[in-house]
Amino acid sequence: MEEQKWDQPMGGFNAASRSQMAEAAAGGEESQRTLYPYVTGTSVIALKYKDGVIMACDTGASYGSTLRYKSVERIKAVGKHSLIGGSGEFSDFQEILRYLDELTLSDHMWDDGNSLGPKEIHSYLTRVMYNRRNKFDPLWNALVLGGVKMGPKGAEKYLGMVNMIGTHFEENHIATGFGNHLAIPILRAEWSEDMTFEEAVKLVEKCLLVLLYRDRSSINKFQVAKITTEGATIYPPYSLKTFWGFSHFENPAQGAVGSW
Amino acid sequence: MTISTVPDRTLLAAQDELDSRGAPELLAEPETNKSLPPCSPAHLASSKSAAEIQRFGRERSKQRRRRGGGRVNLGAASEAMARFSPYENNGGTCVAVAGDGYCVVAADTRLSVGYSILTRDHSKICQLADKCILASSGFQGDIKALQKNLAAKELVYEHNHNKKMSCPAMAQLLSNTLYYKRFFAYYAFNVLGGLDSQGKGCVFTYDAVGSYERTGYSAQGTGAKLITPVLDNKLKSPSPLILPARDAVTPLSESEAVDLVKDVFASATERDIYTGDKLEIVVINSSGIHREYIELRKD
Repeated sequence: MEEQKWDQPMGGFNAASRSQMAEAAAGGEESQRTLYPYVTGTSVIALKYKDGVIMACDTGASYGSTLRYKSVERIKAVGKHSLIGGSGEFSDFQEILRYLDELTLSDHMWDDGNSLGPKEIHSYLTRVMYNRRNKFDPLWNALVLGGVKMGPKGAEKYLGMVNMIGTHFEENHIATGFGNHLAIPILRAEWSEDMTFEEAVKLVEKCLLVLLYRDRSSINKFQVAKITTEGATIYPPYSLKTFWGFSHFENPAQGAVGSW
Repeated sequence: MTISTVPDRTLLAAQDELDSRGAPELLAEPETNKSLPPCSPAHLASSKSAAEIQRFGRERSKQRRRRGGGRVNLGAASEAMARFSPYENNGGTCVAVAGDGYCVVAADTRLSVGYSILTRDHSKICQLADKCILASSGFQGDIKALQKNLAAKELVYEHNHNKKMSCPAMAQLLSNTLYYKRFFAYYAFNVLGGLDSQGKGCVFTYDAVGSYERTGYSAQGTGAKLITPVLDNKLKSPSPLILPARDAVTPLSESEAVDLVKDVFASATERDIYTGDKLEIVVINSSGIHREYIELRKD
């Protein structure tokens, strides 16, 4: 029965693993729809902290298993109050940035003293992603939307995620792609309300390091961005120190048995 | 029920392309290794052999044209193609119990995908009218779209009729809304609970394409198969054929019904991986709506 098929855990694919399966691309397709992602970015991590939201990701974009682009900015400021981070197909991310440009432009042209906050932008993105999914032509991304906006109760922080078929939710910490499996456990154990900026960056770096060690498509060049009531700041890229000096790495054949 | 899209020319062309390449299909191998997790090597190995068989059976490819889109290629070993699926199951369970003068609607707050938990704090319950609550489980994108859709239609009704929609009216509207997308269904399994115009509790239970019936209680979602037998044991009313006619709504008091719902969720949480974290219970009675949360197991 159809129902039993839906009961099986499916949908475990995410943009990062899809990029590995994006080989054997089709030839001569009549369909104009997106079938596979080609140039993909890997995980984005974000978390709320005392003054706002921190978001971080690496600056790489892969073409299948090739690390094609190494200086790609996958976190951008949106309007005055939000940051968007995108993993998955990079061209679709650029398309989304174009949509957001139009959105923020018309918001600005209203000139009514109001500006779109992160909640509104998240809602807009959810609708866009869901509607594209309905047309079987998805934007192959997992987007992270974070921001702070002054509300009646003071500065209201917001952090949410949307994926390519329109699943969306809000949380205190978000990670896409491989980050879902590697970074979220760390964030769930060590995140706390009202972390300082330094603590938050340390936590984020811990997650980025794990991803660097374990995610094949990540590179050692990261960008951290923050958004507070003062505005968005995207820091210049930097690298993390890695450690490879384990004794087993020094003589890997030591315990090996036989020959083959 | 069969879910299939209206065949569309470009989708057919893509389908033929895949068929002629002999891409393995989930539908073609329903019995293989259902108990194994989808990505286990044994599962992938067996579906690879299925793919090879299908490559020789290309004649059958034309028959597959009838079936619609939206299937996923889990055994993606030989062809290595992740075909886009517009659905995913985000899990969760919803229960509703109707009583004389109250209705209890409850749902867990876990949002999952595959074997991961996305968030432990996501509500599946939506208040559509002052005496009408909808709880849905299934694909969260569709659920949110459906709930938004209904809330908008309810507002239009209010503007047209100068009163809020009653629960039975909303029940019919939900059925029609679901059937409207009969050939690209909302993957949402719904339970609608509230008070009818006489103030008695009512529960309506749905499938994904809009068949519905009014019952005294219902469970939907991944834990439904675990919960329904227990509810039957406690709440099932005698056959509607016997005389004198007996009430479908439970004779339990409101607090007994709430306790039953809590117990039933605690049990479902033990065995269903998609159910857990927190339980949101909403009770509607003549004095209004009351919401409470209890913790469930987080594993």
